[in-house]
Formats: sequence, C-alpha cells, structure tokens
Amino acid sequence: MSKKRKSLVKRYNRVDMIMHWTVAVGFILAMLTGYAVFFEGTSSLLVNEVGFVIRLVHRIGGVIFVLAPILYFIFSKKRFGFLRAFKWDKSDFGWLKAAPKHYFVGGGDMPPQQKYNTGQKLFYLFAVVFGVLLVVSGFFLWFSWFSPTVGLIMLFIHDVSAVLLTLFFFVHVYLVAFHPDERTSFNAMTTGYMDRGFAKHHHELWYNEVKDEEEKKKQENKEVI
Amino acid sequence: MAKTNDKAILVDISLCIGCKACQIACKEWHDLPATEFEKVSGTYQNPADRSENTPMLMRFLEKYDETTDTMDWLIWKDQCMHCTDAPCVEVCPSGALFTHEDGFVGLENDKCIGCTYCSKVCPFDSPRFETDALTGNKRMNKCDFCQDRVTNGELPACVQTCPTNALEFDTWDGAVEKAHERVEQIKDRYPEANVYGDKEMGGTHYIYVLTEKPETFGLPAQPETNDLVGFRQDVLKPATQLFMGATAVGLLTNFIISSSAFGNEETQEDQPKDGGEKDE
Repeated sequence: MSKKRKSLVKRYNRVDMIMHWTVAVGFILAMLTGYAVFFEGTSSLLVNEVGFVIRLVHRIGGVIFVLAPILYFIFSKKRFGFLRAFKWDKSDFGWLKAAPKHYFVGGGDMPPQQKYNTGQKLFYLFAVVFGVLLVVSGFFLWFSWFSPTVGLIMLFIHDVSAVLLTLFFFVHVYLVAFHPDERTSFNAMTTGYMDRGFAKHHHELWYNEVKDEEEKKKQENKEVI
Repeated sequence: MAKTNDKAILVDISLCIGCKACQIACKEWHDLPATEFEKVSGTYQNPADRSENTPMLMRFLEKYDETTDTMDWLIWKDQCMHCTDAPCVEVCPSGALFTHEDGFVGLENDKCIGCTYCSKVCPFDSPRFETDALTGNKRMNKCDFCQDRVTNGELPACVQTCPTNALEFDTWDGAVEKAHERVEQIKDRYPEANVYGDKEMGGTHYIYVLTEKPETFGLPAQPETNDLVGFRQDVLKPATQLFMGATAVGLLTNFIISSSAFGNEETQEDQPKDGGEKDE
C-alpha cells in the first residue's frame, strides 16, 4: 500500500469528485432524453406513459445538472476554481498547435501545462458557458410564461448549446476513458489520486508546485523532529 | 401555392349573424367538454379565448359609429387557418401535424408529443395546449378541418350547421373565385371589403370575405413566421448528424493510430524502469 501511495499525487478532493460525477449524471440523463425529441424515429416514444417518464427524467437531469454546481459554489472553498478556465496565455496556443500530433502519435512540442491543460480548460470553458446557456434557455422552455418568439430563440440556443456540449462530451469521455495515453487520468477523477509520472509528464507546472510543497512539508517535519 | 384539388372553407363575414352554431357543432363533433362561462364585458363572445377545448371561437367586435349614432357588429370565426406553407407542419418533430391530401393541416393527436414548437411558429396563434404542471407535458389541439368527415365525403361540422350560408365548403379555386365575386357585390355597403387568405402563407384553406381591414379583426395583414423556424429541421439536424459522425470517425481513427503509437512508447519506457528506480 505504502509503496503505491508514493507514486501517486493527490489531485482532487472528495467534494470535487462528487460534484463532477453528479453533473455528469445529470447531463447524461438530460442528454439521452433530450435527443429523444430531437430525432424523428425516437420522438414517437414521447407519447403516453413512456413520454411522461422521459419528460420527467429530462427535467430531473436538468435540475441535477444545475443544482450540483450551485451547491458546490456555496459550500466548497474552491468556488472560484472555474475562473482558471478563462485564464489563457501563450503556452495554451502552443498546446493547441501541438495537440493534434500529440494525441495521434505522441511527441510534439507540448508546452508544460498547469493543473488543467488547454484541452481541459477548453472543456471547462465550454461546460460553463454552454451549460449556463443550456440551463437558462431550458428554464424559458420549461415554463411557457414568455412570448412565442422568445421561446423560438431559446429553443435555438438550447439546441445549439446541447449539440456543442454533446460533441465536446464525447471527446472528453473518449480521452479519459479510451485514449491509450490519457486514460490513466480517469483514475484521478475516481480516486482523487494521479499517477506521479503522468502528472509530471502532462501537468509539469502543477506537478512542480506540488513537489515544492511536499518538500516544504518534509523540511518542516524535519525541523519539528 | 394551394393545389387545384385542395378543399377550402369560404367564410363570408357579411352573412354571419353570430348564432355560434358552428362553435357548438365543432365541440359536438369533436366531443369536447363545455368550459366555464367567462363574461367578456360588452360583447356576446364566450369564452374569452380559444383553448384546447374550444378550438374554434366566434369573436365579437362591437363597433359604435358616433357620427351616425349606429352600432355595427363585426363577428368572425377564429380557428386554425390551415396554411399551405404551414410552419407548424415544418417544425413538428413527430408528424402529428401534417398536410392532408386535401390541402389543409391535419392533426393526429396520438402522435403529438406536446413540444409546443407549433405554437412558437404559428402567425395566427392557433395551437392551444393542455398542460401538466409537473412535467410540462402538453397536449395540443386546434381545428382539424373535420378531417374524418371530409375524407368520408361529408361537410365539416361548422359548414353543415351554418344557417345563413356564411360558411361554404368548396374547392380552393372555387372558394377564392366566389370570395372575390362577393367582395364586388358588397363593396357598396362595405367599402373596405376584401378577401383574406388567398395569398397569405401560400394561401390558407379558410378563405375570408372581410367587411373591414384584417387588422380590425386582429388578423395580421402580412402574416409571417420567424426565420428561425426551419433552422432546427433544415440546418441543425443534418449538421448534428454530420458532426456526430465526424466526431465518431475522428475518435475511432485516433484510437487506432494512437493505440499503435503509444503502445510502442510504453514498452520503451518500461525497459529503463525495470532496470531500477534510480530516477525517482
């Protein structure tokens, strides 16, 4: 056990993980039921009792999708953590340039990355921006207190953000669950710990910070002893 | 434009006496429940508005002319107009709304999923809903042109019952021709008389002979629908399928290529590790 711990770095708190997976569950529920309306073949499912359940599940999913980040924002200390998705610098553009090659065959000049690499930032950015649009437009569509034209515009926003989020969702899931080089990072969101070698290789700047802190602690401990 | 074998209902406002027989006949035939009495002050209209249980309503507008000290009734029949270029049919995701072979907009209520897109695009605000508060589940209802009667060679219920021939069931071309003739006949009494529905929305399947301008009745002079109407069907759905396909292909390609590429790297990385953990 102890030997294994040594080669891991702590990456996420339990609260972070709970929020991530709750949002994921909400999104998946709403996505699956949402596309039932979207495609002609499946929309016939929406009549009668089956339709009742689908509609209810879509709304439950939507509410989970909204509530999880709100509760996280209220109770977690890292409530403004999402702002780092909006901080971009030169290394991010370097990453974007090198990414296609890197993710297909490996190598490439990947600039050292922070705790979240550019791809993750981009996904976070998408999730925040289009998630908010999705939720706001969904609210308008749920409660028909507004004019038909407003409804139509909201439907447009709801559709477009849902499609974009879905595409990004697939890329996100693929990278962490299937991509041969990246899939070890899946463990980070399930256990909270990340493989040291992977952290060093993929999030060098962040890893160095963690390392510095660890060494500080070690020295403090030594002084105490 | 409307096809030559299309059927239409001609509504001559100047002949209507406001007996509401058509309103009742419509409810009767569609087996719709009575609604609570609503007092609409100053008119004979009841209820105040159309609903899922009152898809067709006689609207009463009382016009008082002070110069001549006379009162005029404007009564018109308000229901789905059955457009030829019907935006509701275009957006309906489940095929509950369709263009009937006789040209009007049919309704298959069993297929309605209550998405309310049709109400968002209708320039006449026709579709009405029965709403479930918890799930937002909705059921749409509107005039269905008595499709069951018409396909079996019967007259629509409202036409059958009209005592003054203010309603006439005819071919679309015939109705438009008659409408223009009527307008010529009543021009002396109603200088503003006009035909409504022959050009609007590609030709509606209710052709009106109006005694005043359409705006007076609350009908849009130039009915139009939002440009976003076709977006979902024409742009977004194909684009989504394309993007989803492209993403799937891209990810699969990536998986195949990267599997081999990163597979080699791993074995190379493993060798020095096996040699000893001097790095760490």
